[in-house]
Amino acid sequence: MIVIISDDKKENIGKSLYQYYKGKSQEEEVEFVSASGLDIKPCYGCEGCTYKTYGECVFRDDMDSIVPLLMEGDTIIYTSPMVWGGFSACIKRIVDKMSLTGYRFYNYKNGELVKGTISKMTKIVGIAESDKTTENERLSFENLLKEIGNIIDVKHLGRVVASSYASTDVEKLALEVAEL
Amino acid sequence: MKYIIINLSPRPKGTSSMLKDYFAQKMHSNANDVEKCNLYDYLKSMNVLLDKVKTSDSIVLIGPSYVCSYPADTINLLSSMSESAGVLHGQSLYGFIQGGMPYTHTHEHGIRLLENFAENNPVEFKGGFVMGGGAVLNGQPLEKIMGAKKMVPAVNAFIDHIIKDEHSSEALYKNAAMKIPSFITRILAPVMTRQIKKRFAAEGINYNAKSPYL
Repeated sequence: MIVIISDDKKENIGKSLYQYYKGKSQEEEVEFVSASGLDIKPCYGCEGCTYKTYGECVFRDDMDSIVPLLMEGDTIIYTSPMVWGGFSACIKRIVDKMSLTGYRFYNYKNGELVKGTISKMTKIVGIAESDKTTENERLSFENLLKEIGNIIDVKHLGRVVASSYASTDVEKLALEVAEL
Repeated sequence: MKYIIINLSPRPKGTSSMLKDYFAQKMHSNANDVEKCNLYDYLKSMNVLLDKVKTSDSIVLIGPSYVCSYPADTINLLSSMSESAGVLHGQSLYGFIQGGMPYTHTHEHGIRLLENFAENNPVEFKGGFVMGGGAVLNGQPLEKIMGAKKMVPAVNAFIDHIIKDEHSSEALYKNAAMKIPSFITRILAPVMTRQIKKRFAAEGINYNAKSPYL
């Protein structure tokens, strides 16, 4: 299952990708989450999800309906406007709660410690949409996805698209995701 | 010079808060005008915090690394600073990010975020510092961090750069970072895992239980 989590009041690429996947195949299971305007509280770093209510956030908000999708999706795609080389605050609040689907222990990979995930996720993708992006912002965004992917030990991709993207760009992105 | 130090962590007694106090104490002892704040005290309304930023000459942001960058509300703070007329007027900007993983590259995005922010706003980015292993401290004094012999002087040197309003290079934190040999890491992973499992067992936590979200 592909899960697209989109800050869709500030970008369109999330919806375009969703429509592309829906149009391409009836068999492909795709879920679209409009994150704009959802009530997602900040992660307070309280460790309640580890030591009080294991695996569950102690605060009730709209994450309760998103986490089941994050657990079941094998490809998780976050789409966001480009904000100084990172995600928008709206998307980052969801990303910050990744420990809810995270492995609590440590593994060894390529000489470093990694954590992993307890979900079905095998790919994490971030797509930032922007009118004008500097080279530094593009590199920052791509590296962010690389670091997140490394820590949870899944395949990863960070891409930046112009707001004036064409349908061929959407297709190209979907192909890159498929080939990960 | 007037400095504002903002703790970007939601935890009032964690490592970022300890560092905020550590920075403030060192800067105060140099007879500087230093104000320290916690971002999460101002989440509902940032106006008072923005006024403090407006009247400062140098902004120091200290925060934890949440999934490889500063927490989400740092972006809200930066956006508010950017959108409010006159808040930014050429101040110096310094960033400090600390996280659990011992590697600087894991957390470095926080510094890139501030750098990119400064490229687009009337503020001058003068350097950042990345400290791995910070979460283990859990608010304890900086001197207790692993590799303190190199880390503490490097953090002090970073604070000196802030006091002197100088640029601080990445080499400062990269040279201070712990270099853990691969064979040690290979041993460390199962040892740390065993310790966590031991704590879970002691606290009666069933870590094999199905996610409550399923």
